[in-house]
Amino acid sequence: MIKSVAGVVVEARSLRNPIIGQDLGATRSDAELVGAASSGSAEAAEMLVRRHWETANRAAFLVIGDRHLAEDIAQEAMLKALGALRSFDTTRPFGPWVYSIAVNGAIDRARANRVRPPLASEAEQRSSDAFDSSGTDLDPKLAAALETLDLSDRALVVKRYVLDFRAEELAEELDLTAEGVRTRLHRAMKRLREAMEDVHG
Amino acid sequence: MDEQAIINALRAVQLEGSASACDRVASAGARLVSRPRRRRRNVLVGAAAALALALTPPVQSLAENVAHLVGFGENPTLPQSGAVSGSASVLQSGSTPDGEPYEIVAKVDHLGRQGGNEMLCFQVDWLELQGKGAGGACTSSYRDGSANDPPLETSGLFTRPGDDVADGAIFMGIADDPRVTDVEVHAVTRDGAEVAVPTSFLTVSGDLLKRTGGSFPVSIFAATIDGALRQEADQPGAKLIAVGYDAEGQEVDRQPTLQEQTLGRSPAIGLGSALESVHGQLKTVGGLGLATVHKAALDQVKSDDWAGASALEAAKYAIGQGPQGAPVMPNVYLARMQDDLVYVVELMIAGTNSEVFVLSADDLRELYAGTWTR
Repeated sequence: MIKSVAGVVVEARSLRNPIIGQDLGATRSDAELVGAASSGSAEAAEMLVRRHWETANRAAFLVIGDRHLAEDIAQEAMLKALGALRSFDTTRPFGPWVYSIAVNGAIDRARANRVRPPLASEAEQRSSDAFDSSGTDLDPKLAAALETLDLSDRALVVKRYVLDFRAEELAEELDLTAEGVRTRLHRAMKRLREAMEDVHG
Repeated sequence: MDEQAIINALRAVQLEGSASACDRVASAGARLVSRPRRRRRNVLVGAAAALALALTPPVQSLAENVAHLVGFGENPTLPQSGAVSGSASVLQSGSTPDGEPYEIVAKVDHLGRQGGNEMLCFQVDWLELQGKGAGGACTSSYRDGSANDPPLETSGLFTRPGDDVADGAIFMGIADDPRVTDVEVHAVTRDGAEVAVPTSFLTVSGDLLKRTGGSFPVSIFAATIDGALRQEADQPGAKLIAVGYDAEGQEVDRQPTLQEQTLGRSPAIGLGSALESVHGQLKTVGGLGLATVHKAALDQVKSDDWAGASALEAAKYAIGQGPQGAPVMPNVYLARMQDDLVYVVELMIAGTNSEVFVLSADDLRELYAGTWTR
């Protein structure tokens, strides 16, 4: 099953055939690109990264709240996924896999940052709950509202509403019922709305 | 702002610099998948040929590739997240026999769940992958001069993310006993013959030691291990060992890889006993105390009910702020149990008991790829 993923930007650039201006990556499915990349095709790997980068980067940012850290995390996720293609089950969709790696990486990094000692660098000392929207077009009020969510709820919101994971998939991952996931999501979104209203005064 | 407006705003967020980062990562990804890989069955050529293959390239390729890499004492090429600012420096740079550029980095890091243990750590950065592989070796002797007992502390084989036993590795360890003035890595073949592998002996002293805030020099050894040699060493009866010498050339200590030590201390693993027999308090790992050995399938590891789950979760915290990037296992090696090829994963958490996990190859790949979703 190929999951539809919102926010995926396929850049309209030709990697192999600039004369006709055709984006060969856009004509090939992820499964085809994964197959080619796992056989050593540099072009296929590049296309996979270009196809999924923006979403992975955005998801990591919305969880960790720092675009510099998000970039590192998304990069790590992409390279981890590409490095593991040989053992990747090609019946599974590539995008959600790499997005999961990015979101989980963001959670790990945020948790690690929480216990960082004072000697860590300034960026690393930032609380994982603080949201820095500089260098992004995220509404500062929404950023402030996101800060009010705990890390797991923030990740849940991102996976459901930004990455379009189904509640059933999230339930399996979290060892909850689908109804339990929907309840948590409902509460998280309610809290976001209320926090936005508080900010607006 | 209503719920749908919030969702729309989240889905539309644009990040400055994302396009250039994408170019960089696309390029790194292209290099990653297109790097040459050796065929898997070259171990069958026999021990002598395998050793001959393995022993020739490291020094040569180090010299050939050093030009584009930073030198001894310089700042590492890759960012050193979590390290004490200014403490990181490169001890050695080069390429593995199959051309993978790397840097061996020394830095002061914080280990332990609360980040309270400051230690001098050594790690391998894989430059083209722009990331760290499995493994790290740390010591506090740079502050207090406390020599390790035994004199050599091996750290296992350092590998690139996603690699398996057919790929090259770096065998590295700490030699902080002042009696040890040189270390040589030996490959012990199945028939008991020992062949020396070119080995670097690197010392953090002088200005480099000042950067760490330490007072006592610490040395490490490092040897690049070709994939063929690594496969050969993985055969029953064969192994890699580090041999430490004093100033007179007398042998002070010899230690196998940490993986081999674990096998030696956990005979139940090596002898192919029933998986259940490796449960319980069986052994010590890395001198850190009694370890609990768990056999687990991935779904068990992911379950909160499983006995090892909390330790693995704790290890992820430790790993996240230590020399390894999460989710990387400090020591991973292959073992055979009842005809099933499994991986044994050691998680060493400073100041706590170690944990040993036995996972199937497929589970480990999934875990390694970061798809573990606890």
